[in-house]
Amino acid sequence: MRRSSYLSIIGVTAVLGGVGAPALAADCATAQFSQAVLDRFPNIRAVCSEVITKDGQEYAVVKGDLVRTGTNAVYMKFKLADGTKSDTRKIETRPEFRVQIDGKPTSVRNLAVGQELTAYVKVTEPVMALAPADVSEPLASYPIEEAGPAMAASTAEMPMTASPMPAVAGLGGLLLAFAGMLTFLRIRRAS
Amino acid sequence: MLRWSEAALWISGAALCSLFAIAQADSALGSTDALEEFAASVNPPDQTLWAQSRVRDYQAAQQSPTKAIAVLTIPSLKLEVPVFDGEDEISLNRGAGLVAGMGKPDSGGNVGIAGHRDGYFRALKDIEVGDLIEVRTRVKMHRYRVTAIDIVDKADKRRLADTDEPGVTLITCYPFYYLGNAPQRYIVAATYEWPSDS
Repeated sequence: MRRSSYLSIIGVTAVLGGVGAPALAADCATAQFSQAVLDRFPNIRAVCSEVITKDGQEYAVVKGDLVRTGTNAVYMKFKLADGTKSDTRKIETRPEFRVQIDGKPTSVRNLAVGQELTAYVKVTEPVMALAPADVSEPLASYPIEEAGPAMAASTAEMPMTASPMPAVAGLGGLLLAFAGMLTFLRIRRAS
Repeated sequence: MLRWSEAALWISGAALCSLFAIAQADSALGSTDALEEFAASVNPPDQTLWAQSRVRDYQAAQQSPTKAIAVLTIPSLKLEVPVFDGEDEISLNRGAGLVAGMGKPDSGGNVGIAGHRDGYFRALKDIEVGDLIEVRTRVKMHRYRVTAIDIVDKADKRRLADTDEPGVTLITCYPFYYLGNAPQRYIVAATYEWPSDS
């Protein structure tokens, strides 16, 4: 009797809890990514480390290495579960935006290749944003761009890497030798 | 007339040799000063009590073109050389220079660093594939691993092209012992070594 009462109480509590409590946050495997997100970021589940809720919206957290900085943008490769890295992804940002680097707020202008950054991908919409240094700061989301190389057209010319100094020294030595020879001949002729 | 020619030869010869001596002294002193200044700037003084204008002046002074923006180290060659933001004669006399139009160490891409073959970069003749190259900027230490060593025509710019992966390309003249403008370039290509790779 007592046992069945306990079971009844647990059952009622479970039912009421299921109705009244907020839904549990999804994880990377169960998150309901929109088709637009999956189209733009096909391996989102593979690079997602967790799903968080911010400002009432679900975001997949993705961590990666900074591979390039650009004007109002950073380029990252995200870490896959098998240790490899994703294609290069561009994330737009603002010059004054600050992110956490080694526990310190750092302006995106002062970022360097090789630093680890965190970004958020909105589950229901193909937009992503860098994680701000101040967690209370609203996210500045930008459309997810197609993955691909971030190479720029090179305008570099092959540098001139021959110093003129050895030639200067050689010429100077030659002139001194010639001058010495003339002096020697003049003294010899005079004596 | 002969005496005048003789005097002119003495003066010209001495002037050229003096110029060479001054350049050698500038190379040694300029390099040492740049390395010391860089080391000091990597560990900047406590500025918490400074006025904002003083902090701005200090930061502006760190951007001076005469100051090194990085230090290039190749442990296997025992080479340590300041890297300046430019490939002008003074910069290359005092160290190495970033090649204009290529990447920068903190920004990524293909970072081009040039040096004189009869100066600091003569040591590159002994570099080998697999050697470590370190480029320390004020923000971060970047490590690269040598993947290729090539000798190319001086007009061949393919090695200067941008790359998706961060890397560094060291450039100097070839042959290493040659009087005048050498016809070829000695290229050392290295790719970024991610912390998780090492």
